[in-house]
Amino acid sequence: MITFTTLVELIIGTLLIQNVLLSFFFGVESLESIKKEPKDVLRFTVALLLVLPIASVFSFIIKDSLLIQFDELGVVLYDLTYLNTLILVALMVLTVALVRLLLSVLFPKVLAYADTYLKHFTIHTMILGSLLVMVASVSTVLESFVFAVSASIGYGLVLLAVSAIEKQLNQAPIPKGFKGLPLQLVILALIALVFSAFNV
Amino acid sequence: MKTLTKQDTLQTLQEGLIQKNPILILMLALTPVLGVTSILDHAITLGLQTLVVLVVSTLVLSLVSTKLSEGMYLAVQVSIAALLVTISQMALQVINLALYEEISIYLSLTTLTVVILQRALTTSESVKPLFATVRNGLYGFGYIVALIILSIVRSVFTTGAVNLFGLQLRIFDVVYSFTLLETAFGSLLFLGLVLGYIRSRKEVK
Repeated sequence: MITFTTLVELIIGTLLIQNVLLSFFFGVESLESIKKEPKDVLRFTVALLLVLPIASVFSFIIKDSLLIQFDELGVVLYDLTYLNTLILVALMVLTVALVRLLLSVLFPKVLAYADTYLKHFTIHTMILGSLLVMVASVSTVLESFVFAVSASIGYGLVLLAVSAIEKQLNQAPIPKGFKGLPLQLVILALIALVFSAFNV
Repeated sequence: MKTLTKQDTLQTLQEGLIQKNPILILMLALTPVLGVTSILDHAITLGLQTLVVLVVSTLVLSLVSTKLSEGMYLAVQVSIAALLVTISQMALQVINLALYEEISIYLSLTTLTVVILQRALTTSESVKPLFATVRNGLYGFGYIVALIILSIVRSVFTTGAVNLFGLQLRIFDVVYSFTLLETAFGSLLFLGLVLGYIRSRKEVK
């Protein structure tokens, strides 16, 4: 039975302690492609929130009902979890296509707002990585949903911090070669150092 | 349709290793790089898997690409890569289960690494399947070389030695503990400084 404490632990854990960007480096290569304004970070986070929770819930249901089955005594009847990668990748591609299709029919304005980033999610390491971690770590549908929402918000928060710090640092005399992704990685390193204090 | 010559091969090898290195210059698919370069065994395993999947999927894709519509291309490309990654993961489970379990997440992410590399290396000119396969293979070789170099340098910085599948080559005795460099902080800082240094050198030239 899932308790309120478990959910709070999961939210704090995913937001701060095991942040997907700072602990697993998921989606680190797209840092440079996101524009530096806070509204663009918000747009990216909204796009993530539209895709990741749905993909996460579907992944959990497929894993729980199709990939592995137990009998009444808890003995494994069959285990197809070695197909995780193939199924999660297919699910990621389908979810992105489905979300874009539904938004184009039901909420075209939302699609226009988030589509800049949505169309890149088919090959985004943040989505696939989060699904892989989720499948290995949660045990109920609700947890999978909460994990996905927390991971998306946690990713957005770190992006916001990086963009804000980079904006300030760009006024300093930084060597030209360090501008862009190298500087962002150094900033991320310092944020990771701060966040590691939560992991005691 | 362009065919493969010896000069093309040497030029592509040079580009893959130095001028257009996928990690150090193009800065592509950095997630697995950050995840595995702290241990040399992991870096070599992931690099080899990426190279094999990249070569085989490029060959398969270039053979069927003329029959695919534009809308289907990406879905087929991702599916082929995912299938090959799954097969390679099953092979690694048989060879070394402990190693597989340590980096299984990053091995799965190789699917996206391969697709990202293929998309970055695709040119507008029409080339023969063998040409495309060898070219992507040479870039994949540049990817694995960069992974190994980064991993060796990190290992030496953090432990003073290079460990490879149980063998140890000690460069110097560590007086201070550099455990901080083995964390996420170390991975990100190290790669950020290396990429920044290489870019700065290019600017000077």
